[in-house]
Amino acid sequence: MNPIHLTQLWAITRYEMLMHWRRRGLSITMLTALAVLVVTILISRSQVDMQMVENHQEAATLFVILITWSPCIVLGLLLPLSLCDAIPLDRYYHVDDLLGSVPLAQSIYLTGKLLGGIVAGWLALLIAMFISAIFWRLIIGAYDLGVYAELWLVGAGMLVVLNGGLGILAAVGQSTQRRAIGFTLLSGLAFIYLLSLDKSGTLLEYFGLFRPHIISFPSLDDNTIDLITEQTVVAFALGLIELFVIWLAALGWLKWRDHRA
Amino acid sequence: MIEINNLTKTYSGNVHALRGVTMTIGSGMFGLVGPNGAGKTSLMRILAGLLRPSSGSVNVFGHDMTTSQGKQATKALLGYLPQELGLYPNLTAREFLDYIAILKGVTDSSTRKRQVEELVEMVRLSDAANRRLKTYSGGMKRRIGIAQALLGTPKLLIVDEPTVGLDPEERVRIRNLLSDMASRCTVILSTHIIEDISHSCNDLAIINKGGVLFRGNPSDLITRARGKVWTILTSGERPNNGLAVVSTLQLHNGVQYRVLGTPDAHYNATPVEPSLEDSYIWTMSQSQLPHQEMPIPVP
Repeated sequence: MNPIHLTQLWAITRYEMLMHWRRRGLSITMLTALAVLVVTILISRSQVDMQMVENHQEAATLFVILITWSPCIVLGLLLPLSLCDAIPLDRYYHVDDLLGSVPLAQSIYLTGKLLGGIVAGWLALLIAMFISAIFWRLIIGAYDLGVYAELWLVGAGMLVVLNGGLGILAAVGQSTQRRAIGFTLLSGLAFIYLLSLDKSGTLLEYFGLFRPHIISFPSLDDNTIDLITEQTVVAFALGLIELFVIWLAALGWLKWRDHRA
Repeated sequence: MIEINNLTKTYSGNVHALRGVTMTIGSGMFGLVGPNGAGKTSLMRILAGLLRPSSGSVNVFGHDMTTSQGKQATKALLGYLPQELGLYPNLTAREFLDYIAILKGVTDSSTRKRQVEELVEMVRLSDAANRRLKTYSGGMKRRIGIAQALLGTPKLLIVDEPTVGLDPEERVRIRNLLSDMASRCTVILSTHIIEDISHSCNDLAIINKGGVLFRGNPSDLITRARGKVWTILTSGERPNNGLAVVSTLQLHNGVQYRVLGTPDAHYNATPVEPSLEDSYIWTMSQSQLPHQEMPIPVP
């Protein structure tokens, strides 16, 4: 890769991230995740001994992790829908002609779009993490910030990379924002259905959008909250392979479209 | 130098956009004129590397446009303003120009910044350059389109209908800008507005139904219509007998028609020097005579 390609990749990533943030989708996704957090807390408060939670840091941490799991899942599942219009909007705005007239390789374009979306998704994650951290501190006091950050940065972070990336790549052939969202939703459901045909459930566990090995519902194991296991690493590696295969398919589609013109 | 040889483009449904176009385009400003649907945009898009020709060859500054290497090499020298210009509505003009400059290979940030500032100044949008593009009027968007085409000091500038939607003052400004550019690079101006051509191009081609009807300079085109343009003053009766009326002017003593053709003696017609528009309409009308089913490609 020559330096011009790297600069182009950086420019697409940077401006794509900026454009995602200036549209509403990402903010809505982030606010939905935070709203889910608040609702889950309100529901849980009546079922938990709050005095114990507030007085024991381990109990507080467990409570935080059990509740925070839900906005992380929401973020991971809604993100594909808010990022999927990245490439379709270029066609909708008629910018594709302009982009086609510059010396830009399709692989750089596609990778830039992918990275821009993922970085934008990560930014949403960091903001949500920061806001909810302050929120937790205010309502229950001290808790283990390391475990909390691990849930967001590793668990939700992996989900953002994989699910956000799939959302961007899956809708590459669509021509409007509405179609992109519809297609991503339907293809996601169809994909889950196809994976569920495997009776052992292994395919769904590793390749399904819920990714239970990556962001597993936390459990206390020997008085420690174990969020990252060997399975997590395997599931993320397999997810990256899944993403690469879809990237190749999307690149093939873009090249085929160019060839047909 | 741009060499186009026997170029054809056929879309699905057997729609022939270009039928064996052959021409050479040198430096300076070249005008491509023709009615809507004549094949101008197809030709522009092939030259910009956006469209694959069905047959024939295109060579731009020694790069073969039928190969992907040739296309990429040409794109590095190209400035392109598409007919249907798309912009990112959520970026400001400065951000958009910076983005396109990087994609065009202007990687040095100080050079890029200088170019962007010079161009927003040139298209007179300095005051609005930090506003998002979704707040721009049609004319302002067109001017940003021109600015982005000039980024990276292109060797070949292809502008497809650049003055559509502009007010007269802006149109003149853009025409002058393109004429200035023509001293530094090859400019191909595609338009159906004859006025744009007559004020800026010393070399032109008329294209219709995918074929070239005329290739030469404006004075050659005018010569074609010499002796065919007349004014006729009537009390209101519209001249006919195969005459093409190009303008109608209400006067205090009747209606003055400017016509193309050979008027009958009873009209008492006065011969006038043809304009480029007269000559264009004459050439177009000749190509549509019943005995000519197809336009004749002129090398």
